[in-house]
Amino acid sequence: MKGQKKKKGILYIPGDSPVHSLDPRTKLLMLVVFSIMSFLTTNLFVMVLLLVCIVALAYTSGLFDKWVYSLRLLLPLIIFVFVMDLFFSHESAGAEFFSAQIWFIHAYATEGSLYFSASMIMRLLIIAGFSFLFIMTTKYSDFVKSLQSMKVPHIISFSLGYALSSTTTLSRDANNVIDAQKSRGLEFDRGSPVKKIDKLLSLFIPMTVIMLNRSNQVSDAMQCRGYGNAEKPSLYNAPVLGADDIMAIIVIAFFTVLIIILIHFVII
Amino acid sequence: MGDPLVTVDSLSYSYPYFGTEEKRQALSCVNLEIQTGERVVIVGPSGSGKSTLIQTFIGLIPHSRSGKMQGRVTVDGVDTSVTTVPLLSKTVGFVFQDPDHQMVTSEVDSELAFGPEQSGLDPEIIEERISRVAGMLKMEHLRGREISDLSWGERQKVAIASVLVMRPKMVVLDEPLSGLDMDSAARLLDHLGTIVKTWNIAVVIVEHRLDLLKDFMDRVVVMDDGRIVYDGPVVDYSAEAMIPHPGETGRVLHAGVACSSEPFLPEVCFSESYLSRTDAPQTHTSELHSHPEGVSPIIEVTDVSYTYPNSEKPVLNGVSAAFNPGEVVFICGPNGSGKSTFIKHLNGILRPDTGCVLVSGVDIGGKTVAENAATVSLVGQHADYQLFEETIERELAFGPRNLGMEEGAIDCSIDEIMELMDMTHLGRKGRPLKLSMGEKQRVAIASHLVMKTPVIVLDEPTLGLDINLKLHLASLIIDLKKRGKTVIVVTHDQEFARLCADRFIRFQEGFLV
Repeated sequence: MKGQKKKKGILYIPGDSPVHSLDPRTKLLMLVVFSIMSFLTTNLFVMVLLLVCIVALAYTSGLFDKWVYSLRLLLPLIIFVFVMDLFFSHESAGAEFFSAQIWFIHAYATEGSLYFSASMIMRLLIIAGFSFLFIMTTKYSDFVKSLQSMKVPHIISFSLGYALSSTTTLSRDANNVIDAQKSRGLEFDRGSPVKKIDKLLSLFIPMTVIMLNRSNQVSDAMQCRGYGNAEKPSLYNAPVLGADDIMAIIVIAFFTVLIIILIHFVII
Repeated sequence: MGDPLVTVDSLSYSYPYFGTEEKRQALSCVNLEIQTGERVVIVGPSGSGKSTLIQTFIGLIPHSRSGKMQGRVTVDGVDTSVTTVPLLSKTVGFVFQDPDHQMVTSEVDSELAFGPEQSGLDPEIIEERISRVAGMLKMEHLRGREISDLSWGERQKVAIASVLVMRPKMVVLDEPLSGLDMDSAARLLDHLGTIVKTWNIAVVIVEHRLDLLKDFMDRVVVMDDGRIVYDGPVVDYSAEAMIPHPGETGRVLHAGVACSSEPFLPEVCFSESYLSRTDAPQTHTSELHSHPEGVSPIIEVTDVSYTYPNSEKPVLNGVSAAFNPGEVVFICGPNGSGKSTFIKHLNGILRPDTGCVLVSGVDIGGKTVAENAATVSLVGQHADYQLFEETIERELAFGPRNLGMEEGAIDCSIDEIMELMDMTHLGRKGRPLKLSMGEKQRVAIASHLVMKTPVIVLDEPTLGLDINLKLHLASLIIDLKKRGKTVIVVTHDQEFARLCADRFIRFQEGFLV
């Protein structure tokens, strides 16, 4: 509708790669498996192996550049985790190479804590990296549908779906109000950032009113379309597990077994 | 004929709070029967109780509204007060005025499937129903698309289809044609007609634009002030019945309309075919670049092209136009032809990809929208977006304060404009957001007039206005013209345009034709 600027953040990007076509449930399973495995061990070799898999998946999705770009959002968190774990994890294994008393805080870093903080970052990259990939390759309406078919209570899946879809409507509403205010001489385009935040407050009243009205209208509309008529609503266009999903699940199963064997018998 | 599908028996309804005493009563002692398969159009001035009446058919009144209802409404043999809205929705399909307000999902297919899903129907049956309805409404190409990518008219279609897939015995549509151009509206009615005839569905339409409906509907119900003042077949319906309150019409009419060469009957005359009227404005296009001697245009648009960032196709293709001081120009054209996009360039909300816009001879490229607001005042669509203050007084003062006018001058200006807009009865302390649609629209326009800009641009100002309010608006535009202002109006409403336009500009697929 509007002259939108380039979108920031992590969003669904349409595509027809094998990763896109996987069922959201399969991808959710993969997310869970990767997360659990990354928590089972602090072994760096296993972590790297997991991360390599995710990078390979990201590469297959055809969104590799955008995926790497999205990971930059994690940078502050990575630095924070690294510093905290390095100096304050109190891992005493290995030689100590840094020690300081800052006021009442005693910070020291050892080889053990360096190793630990590195594996924490790997863990973060694995979980966040796959989550980002999941978001970028899954349409949220498909995700909501698969939640529904996974017996998640309808009210939860529907609310989640509606909340996600109304972000578009709300941003359009906000743009309309801003245009109207500009047309009445309110300066949005110039001035310091602080001033701009002040101007955004002028959106508060109209947006509240619009949101309240809209929630009334939508609840009326839902009722007029028979919301709550059946105990359990049926599901049109339910996602179906395809051959590629079954393949993926088998691969994940093998992979899981392999990792568990690695953790328990080979590396100790 | 058997039992009527809907029986309304001495129905009265009053809103809990709504301004003064006499306004509280929305319906008084209404009796009405609607038969299976009947096609009824309900007309009447804004605030006459049309919307209230149709809301009782689906049970939104009394179940979702807190007003007081007396009398009985029976739908398909069931008293609406003892059942629920979701259960009634199996019999009655209700389409709201604004399609955006009734979309509950983000994608066309899931939107269409929503109702049947709630009834727990099998996916195969849902699929069969959706493809049937989509086929009959000629909207297969919309399936699978995101709703946010659709145009207004396409959304309207989705909204209508989403109730038809429920296979109701009756559909109720609240101003389904507002916001559609003549051709789209006629096509939509044509497709809808096929469906309701095939399935013998009763149709109730609330609509101001009667001209399009005369072939489609069997029966007209005219409402005024909460009562039914006329109820009979379309063929017997005469234009005089449409002008309900001679006194009131006189009150809102200013001298301007009386001077206008065009009588205000075309809206209601059934004898004239709408085709002949759509042709009429095009005859004026030859005057497109008329430059009266010695007058330099206040706005000059030169070769402007524009493409929205997320689309490939340009919305405007090298448009050039000039607007002179003191003229009233109407911009018309089908939905999506670039009209609204074009006027957003006039005050810089959108910036052209190529070409330039000159206001009083100065390129506005380097100015912000707020700086342009001192010269060009753009009243956008949908009054709800235009109002953002708690009282009418502050609403009206918003613009002038931003422009740095003095408080004393603002005060005088507010008085003057409230007088001019015939809204003194609303009061300076009135709450803009509690007003009716027509009143909100008036406040929105007034809030721009107080800024005393030489150019006023109105985007679809007649949406949801009845004939009286339209006449009032037309007289206002003529009044503004007399004061030397340039008025640019975007509208689908040909009848309205004929009341006060000096010249027409027509858009077609991004070109000025």
